[in-house]
Amino acid sequence: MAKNKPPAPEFVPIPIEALIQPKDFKSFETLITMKNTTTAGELRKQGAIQIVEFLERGMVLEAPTRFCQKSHYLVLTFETDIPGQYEKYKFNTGARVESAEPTGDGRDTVTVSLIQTDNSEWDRFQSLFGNRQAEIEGFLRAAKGGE
Amino acid sequence: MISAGENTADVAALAFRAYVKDRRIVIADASSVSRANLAQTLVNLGAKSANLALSSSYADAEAEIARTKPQIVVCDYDLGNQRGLDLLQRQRTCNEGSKDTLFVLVTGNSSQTAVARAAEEDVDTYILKPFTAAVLRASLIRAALAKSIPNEYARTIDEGKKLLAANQFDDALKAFERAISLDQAPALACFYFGQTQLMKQATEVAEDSYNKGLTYNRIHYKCMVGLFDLFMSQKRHIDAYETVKRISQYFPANPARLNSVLKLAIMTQSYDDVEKYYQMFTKLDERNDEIIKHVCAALVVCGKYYLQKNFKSRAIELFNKAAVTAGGRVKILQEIIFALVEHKLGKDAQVFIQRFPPETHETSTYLALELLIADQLVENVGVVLQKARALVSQGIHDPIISEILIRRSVEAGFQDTAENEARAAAQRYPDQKNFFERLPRSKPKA
Repeated sequence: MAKNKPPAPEFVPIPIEALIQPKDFKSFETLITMKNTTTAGELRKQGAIQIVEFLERGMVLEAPTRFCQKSHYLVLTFETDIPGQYEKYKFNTGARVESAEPTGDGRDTVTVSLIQTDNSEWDRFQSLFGNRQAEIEGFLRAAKGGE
Repeated sequence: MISAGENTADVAALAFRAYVKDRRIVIADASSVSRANLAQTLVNLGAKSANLALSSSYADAEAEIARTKPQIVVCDYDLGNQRGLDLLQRQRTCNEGSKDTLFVLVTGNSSQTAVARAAEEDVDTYILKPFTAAVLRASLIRAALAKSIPNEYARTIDEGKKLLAANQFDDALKAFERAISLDQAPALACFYFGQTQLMKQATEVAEDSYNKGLTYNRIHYKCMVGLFDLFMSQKRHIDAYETVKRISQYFPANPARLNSVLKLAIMTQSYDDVEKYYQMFTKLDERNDEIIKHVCAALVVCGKYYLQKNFKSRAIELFNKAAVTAGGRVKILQEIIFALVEHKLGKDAQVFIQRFPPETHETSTYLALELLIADQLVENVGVVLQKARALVSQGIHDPIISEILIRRSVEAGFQDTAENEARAAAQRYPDQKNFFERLPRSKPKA
């Protein structure tokens, strides 16, 4: 069955101001502070610790080697700067180190489980990334259009 | 009991296992933890450890791709100072003709500029770090199956593309028409239908088809680019300008495209746009070198326009912005000085020559421009000639120096000197031979 021809797209002229949006150039930036309550050590430096993966009630982190060991207790603070938003999103939690494996280049793969965590805050923190992932997938699908 | 949903997921996981089991994979990520994590996930999904190569840098990944010709590349967007995205072309070159290769970005870079560049380059999927295992698995599986088990719509487009490549336009059109009927939002089929019409010189139908694609999907990249190319080929600059602005809005910060925006702003005499664009540009924290060059060049062109219209202060304001932004880029400063001298604004040109970085002050370009300004500002012919001769005797050569020396020699009545210098200049600058040969006999400048 032949489809009706859709109407021509109505485009409003694009103001030049719309073409460079500073927020388009910015990525999420998360500053992670790790306090090791077992050793009383503290780490707070942009990029020193990275979250690699979210687990159901924990996460896999990349951290400088030997900062923490299995069974150590940590206090983790995450401050995420989201492009276009004025306030940073903050999330604090206690955590227990389940494993800390050296990767051989001065970094450790640290797997932690969360303790004393506000579940709704944890969900919200994960959803910052989950929502952006969904936006990215939607954009790719639309831009490529089935390629 | 397995639910219908779980069953589908299981079938997809099995299909992915079959797809991945014998494929070579390169994982490129500066983070050793990420590399290990991604490798483990792929092994869990059915990849063989022996088929995995892990790279910590762009150079290493490039060498691995050349060596192993991987069907799957998983990499970070940023790899040191280079873009992991550039590995896509390497992979394509190594696997020419192969349709089910996979290029996956797994990155902490969530910026829209990075995502848009990835979309333009046709990456298969973009996974944001930190991810959950479920997102990583689902995204990998979805991307791989779209390639290895394409749906009827994708298969029909593919069939049309083959016919198009074989110049069988009418059959290709039939395939694309069929594809259009197979999808709710067949923008891609509309694009290829338009491309085929374009090959048949049916430009109006092609334009309609790209527009039709955009009614289904306003941000369809290929339809927008198709429309832009069509307008440019028809010299419909106002339409092209609106289209390239629309593309840039959704796909920001592609330097080549921003250059098109600026060029079209100038071609359509939208000079105010260039200034607005500059204002936005100044708000950026990170400025790509190419964008800086394009913005400076556009400001200079605008400045020249205002000089022609006798809006001197406006022109100087734009030149100032260009010079500040250029940060000592010689070519930009040179263009400004040429424009000012051409409009008898030597004193203003003097201000701009001071912006040349100190390390350039001994170069022939700088010394020639200094002479050019002096030529306009110093009334005494003898003084200018002396300066020009001093430069030549020091072995400093530039067409500007030769031109001034010849012209001023004629003016001072030294016709032989002018002829000799003209012959030397014609030999030194063969592409300007005719100009220099005629110069001693041309009328002095007013």
